[in-house]
Amino acid sequence: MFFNTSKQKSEQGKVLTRAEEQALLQRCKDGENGAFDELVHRYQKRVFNFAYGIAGNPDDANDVAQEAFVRVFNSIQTFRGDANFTTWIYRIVTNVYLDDRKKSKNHRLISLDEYIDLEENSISRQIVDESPQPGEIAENKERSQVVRNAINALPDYQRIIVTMYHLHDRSYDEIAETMHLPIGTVKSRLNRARLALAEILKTETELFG
Amino acid sequence: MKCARTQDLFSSHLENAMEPPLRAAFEQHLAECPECKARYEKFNVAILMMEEMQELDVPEGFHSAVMARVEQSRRVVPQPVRWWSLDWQRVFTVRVPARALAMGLSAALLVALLVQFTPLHSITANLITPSRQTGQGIGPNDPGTEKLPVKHWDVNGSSMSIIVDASAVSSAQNIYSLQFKSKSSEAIRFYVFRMPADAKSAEAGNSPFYSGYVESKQDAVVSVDAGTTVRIDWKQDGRAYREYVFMPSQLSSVAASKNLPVIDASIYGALKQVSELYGVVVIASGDLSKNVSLAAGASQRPEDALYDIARVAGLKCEGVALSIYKVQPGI
Repeated sequence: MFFNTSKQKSEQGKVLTRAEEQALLQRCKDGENGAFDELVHRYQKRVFNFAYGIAGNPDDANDVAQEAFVRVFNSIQTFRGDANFTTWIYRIVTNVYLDDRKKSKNHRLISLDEYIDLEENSISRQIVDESPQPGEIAENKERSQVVRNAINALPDYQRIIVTMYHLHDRSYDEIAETMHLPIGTVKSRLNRARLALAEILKTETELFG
Repeated sequence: MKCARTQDLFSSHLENAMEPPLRAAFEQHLAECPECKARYEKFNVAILMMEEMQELDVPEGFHSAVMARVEQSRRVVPQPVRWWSLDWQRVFTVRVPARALAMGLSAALLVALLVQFTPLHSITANLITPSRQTGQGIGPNDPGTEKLPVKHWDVNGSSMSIIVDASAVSSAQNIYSLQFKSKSSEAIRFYVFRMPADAKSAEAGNSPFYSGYVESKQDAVVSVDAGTTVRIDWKQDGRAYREYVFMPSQLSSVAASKNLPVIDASIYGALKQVSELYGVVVIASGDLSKNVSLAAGASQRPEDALYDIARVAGLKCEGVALSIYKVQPGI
């Protein structure tokens, strides 16, 4: 299979300390080739998943995330370090995605086929063992896909905020900085997005009990 | 409190970010309005479901694709304007006074006739037709070569293999491309050292010019200027591997015979000399520290010169592609 799902933090997803991050960025600015290689290695999972969250499908996410890294490479000299690097890179991903949308002017279409047909009684909620059982993994994947489809159905601005807040643990401040919006606007948009999601997920939440 | 206002406050209540009087009004409305209460419950479930979402692993080949695009963007050069890529609609909407246009066309026609039917024709032809060089070198001064070698080699015992691609050694980009591939299930960290130009020995220490990972079943690409020797180090399954790649500044398209000068150097130094003299890529592993002394020889081909040097150290030499030779342990 092309993709695997995993919650485990691997080396490539390991969060760097602020000092380690600054040192790595400085090496990138100094033009050390291997440094950028390492930076991609460290951030690729977060960047790809963020791109997936806002683009809604793996192919577009792949393109957006790759282009975002190229833009990071070309503009890393302008990153002054005032902002969090992750915030900066998420802003670049967001801009790449919105630029692509402007160019294509094609609205995404959510295929009904993408929704997973959940048979009645196919999902149980017996959580006894901490480690995921095979059936549980499948259930989690199905559940993730259902939520993913619901997020995809949101308008761009709501989807980006939901992805940042819920899927990438960004604070209101960071989202406001990334999107150049007042915090109050971020909060109200997130609330509206959550309300919309609750409606979209209505059928599915009944299924999950 | 009205329903719409209550729903606007769902997030604030959930995050415990409400002043007590507002909270009391909110909770009172929920207690009295079954519709808002049901919505709030769905709201909470939706958030729980989002929190449980799983991350995806990055697609295969993502890392190397990013690095290749970065490398490409690093080398972007202004492209010449081609007639087929012009915005012709724009060209034809440029407003030019009809009289000026007519005069311009007439002048151009006159010049063309003069050039065609007078001795100016041969003079201008010589000026604008590039003279094609007939030498053997493939480098900045010889844009005419198209058949350039690409060679893949496996390193004995390692699941990493390396490809040297000399197709970019041309008039436009005097660059070799080293591509690393891994069949291992684990990422392999590798280091590329640019050997100092005046290094006499293979042990000359320097800091890595490039360090990176070859992800499982993925590629990594490193570009190296022509005229450079690199040392590639990596470790796998507790074993250390080292390869040297000598890349001449001018790559030859034929294995021409040349007079070998006196050689009195380490194997490393001798291989470097031969690589530059013949314009061949030499990939070497094994002990290159031994000294080799060879008297000036009669005209011989690069494989013969390399054979003479390699056998001194108990190494074997083989041609692996046009202008690419491999020197490694074993006879």
